[in-house]
Amino acid sequence: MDFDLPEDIAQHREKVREFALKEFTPELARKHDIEEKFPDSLRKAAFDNGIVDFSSPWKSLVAIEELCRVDPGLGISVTVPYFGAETIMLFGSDLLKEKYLARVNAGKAIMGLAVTEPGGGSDVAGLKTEAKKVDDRYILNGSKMFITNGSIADFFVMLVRTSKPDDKRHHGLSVMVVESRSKGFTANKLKGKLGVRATDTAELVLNNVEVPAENLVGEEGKGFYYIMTFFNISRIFVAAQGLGVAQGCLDRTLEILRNRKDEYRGMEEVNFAIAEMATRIEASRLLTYKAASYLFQFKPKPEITSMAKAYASETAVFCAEKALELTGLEGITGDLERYFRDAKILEIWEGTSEVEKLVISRFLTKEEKA
Amino acid sequence: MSDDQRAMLVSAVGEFCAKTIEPASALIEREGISADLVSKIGSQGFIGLQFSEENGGSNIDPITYLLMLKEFARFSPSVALLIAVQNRVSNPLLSATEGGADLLKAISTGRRTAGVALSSSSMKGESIGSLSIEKGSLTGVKNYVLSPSSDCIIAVTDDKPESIIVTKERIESAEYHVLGFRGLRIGKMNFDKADYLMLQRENGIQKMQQIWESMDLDVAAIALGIADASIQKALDYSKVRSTFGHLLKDYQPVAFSISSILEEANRLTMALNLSGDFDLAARKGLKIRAMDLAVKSSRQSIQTHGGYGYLQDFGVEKFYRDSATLQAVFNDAYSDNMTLANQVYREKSGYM
Ligand SMILES: Cc1cc2nc3c(=O)[nH]c(=O)nc-3n(C[C@H](O)[C@H](O)[C@H](O)COP(=O)(O)OP(=O)(O)OC[C@H]3O[C@@H](n4cnc5c(N)ncnc54)[C@H](O)[C@@H]3O)c2cc1C
Repeated sequence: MDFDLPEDIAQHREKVREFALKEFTPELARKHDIEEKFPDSLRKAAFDNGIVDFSSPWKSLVAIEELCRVDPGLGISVTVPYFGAETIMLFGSDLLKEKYLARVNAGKAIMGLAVTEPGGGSDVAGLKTEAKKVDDRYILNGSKMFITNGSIADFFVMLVRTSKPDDKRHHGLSVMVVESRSKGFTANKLKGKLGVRATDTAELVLNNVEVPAENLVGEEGKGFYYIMTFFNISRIFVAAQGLGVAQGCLDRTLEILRNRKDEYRGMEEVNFAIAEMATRIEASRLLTYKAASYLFQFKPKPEITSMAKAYASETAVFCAEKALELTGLEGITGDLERYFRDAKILEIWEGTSEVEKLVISRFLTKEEKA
Repeated sequence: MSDDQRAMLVSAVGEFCAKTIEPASALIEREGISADLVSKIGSQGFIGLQFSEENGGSNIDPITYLLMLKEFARFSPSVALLIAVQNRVSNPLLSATEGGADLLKAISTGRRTAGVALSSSSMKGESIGSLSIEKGSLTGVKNYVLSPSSDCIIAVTDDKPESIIVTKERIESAEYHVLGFRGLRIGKMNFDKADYLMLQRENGIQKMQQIWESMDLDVAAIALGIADASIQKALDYSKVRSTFGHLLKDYQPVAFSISSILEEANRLTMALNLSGDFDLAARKGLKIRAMDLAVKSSRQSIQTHGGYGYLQDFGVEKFYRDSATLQAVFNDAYSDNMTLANQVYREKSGYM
């Protein structure tokens, strides 16, 4: 068992770190946070510099980790324009790949994934947005809530109900690609988030939106399965966000402590807190890389993925809180306050910590239940 | 004061807050507490709660004061902290100073407010500031001033003999984008030949330490207000939000977390009610627990609200920011834990 990353991945990590340290200045991070503005020029720069490299999932993973380490809001913003791409990649037709994915992969379009609705996010099967098939198109009505890239994306991979559920609630759901320029489509940007304020979030309203039948991803009625498969991939990248945020908190805490009085730096309470942060980060990293290793070899283990997502997210929140405790006035008035606000989203999006625990326990007790 | 009278006063604060502070809470977070709001709070007699009557206050009993403070914090922790600072910092210093009474009267009626320069025992002197008295006026910098847009600022000079002063006028500051207490803010202040009134000529650091210590129960009350309000919001939400065909309250992880936090908040509030007889260890214990609970409660409240908790509109995220800020400012360098250890051991302990 070798715990070191292969040379090319390690080099990519270094390259991403250099990029982030150069481009993600604290001033810029603060500006985008305060103004709640998506950093489009950084997105382009990250793309042009090969920071987001889909040719290797390991490269994507370490890139997310390193970018979020330097600034979570900017880091997530530059990596999230591809959010949902795997759904098309795995289940979409060649036409969809060509028409939509190619533009995203060329850095020319932004996409999003729209699952959550005002009435619920955890209960995916309970969604209400309807798509009625009329001739060669679907007519969509309903709304989606908290959609990342909601007011800037060119298109969304959207989960909708195409037929009434039978005895299983998750039956009758389908995934389709919906363009934001469609007639009847409105996006209302949500302002006033606690954190990740550089990312764009919106509510989407669909009023008789017409979607060509060819935009159906995979087969009708299999949407729930496609989205769950997607979450089992994306949650690993959320775990990487958590790793980055937690590591960034530790980096900045150590930096601030360097300039504190010797008595304080020598206190065991301080040092034990640092040790606790570092230990949890390392444990999160091992768990995340293990989940990634299974997935990237096409042997996914959803329970390990959920463990990684939940644990790394909780570690990010733990480290952000500890960092403020340790750094006091400097923490609450400096960059760390942003990490604190950003960290909390990780326990909510793409499956709350509670949902992850449900997944884990269901996998562990699956046989008994059967 | 009888229990009924006490309850009446606390509910008067609640009614005032529901009418005046709640509708303005988003604005308070965005733009700070306005002079108009301070004046409304003052005109109700809610600022000079611990001031003597001759200084325009009501000299209310300490427990009632704490419960009122807690009630303010349920709506706006920033407003509660502003009131606490006037009562625990401005009041003792200004009432003991010739010429301080007029300022205190103006503060109690809400015509003026005082801000205060913060300090940290773990930071090096130069990181805190370089304020000195030169040729009869103030020169230098204070890096962390709470409520910097106040009409006057109380600060300890950084040169010997460490005097406590209050400025006679407003001083310009550069405000940080601070995590919490955005109604008050924290700023970096540059003093350029500023006029001042001397409040205490020497041993200012020691005196300010005593003053901060006298705020232990105030901080506990504010923390309990945060804990109470945020978990109450989670409780209410869990009764109306459904997932998978059940209300959130029906799920054990939700119901168990909320009920245990609520029960702890009630227990600590009972302790606050009895805190008149508390020794230093008990005060520190209550403060530490209340601050921890505020963070835990507001974090849980965001979680229970799911995505909605992450939006300012739902009014829980500010409690999370404020609770962490309270802890960062008021348990500087684990000083409370050290004092508690010293009290328990009755000798120097827990310092390494
Ligand atoms: C900034 C932001 C960006 C987002 N981006 C996207 C996006 O791009 N696309 C998208 O589709 N969604 C997105 N979301 C939505 C996010 O995924 C949901 O908020 C999340 O899934 C939770 O759903 P909810 O908010 O409806 O909470 P709810 O499902 O209502 O849950 C509320 C609380 O109850 C708990 N709970 C629910 N059921 C149970 C149970 N059985 N047992 C125990 N506890 C339970 C939950 O864990 C949570 O704590 C985003 C959200 C935010 C805030």
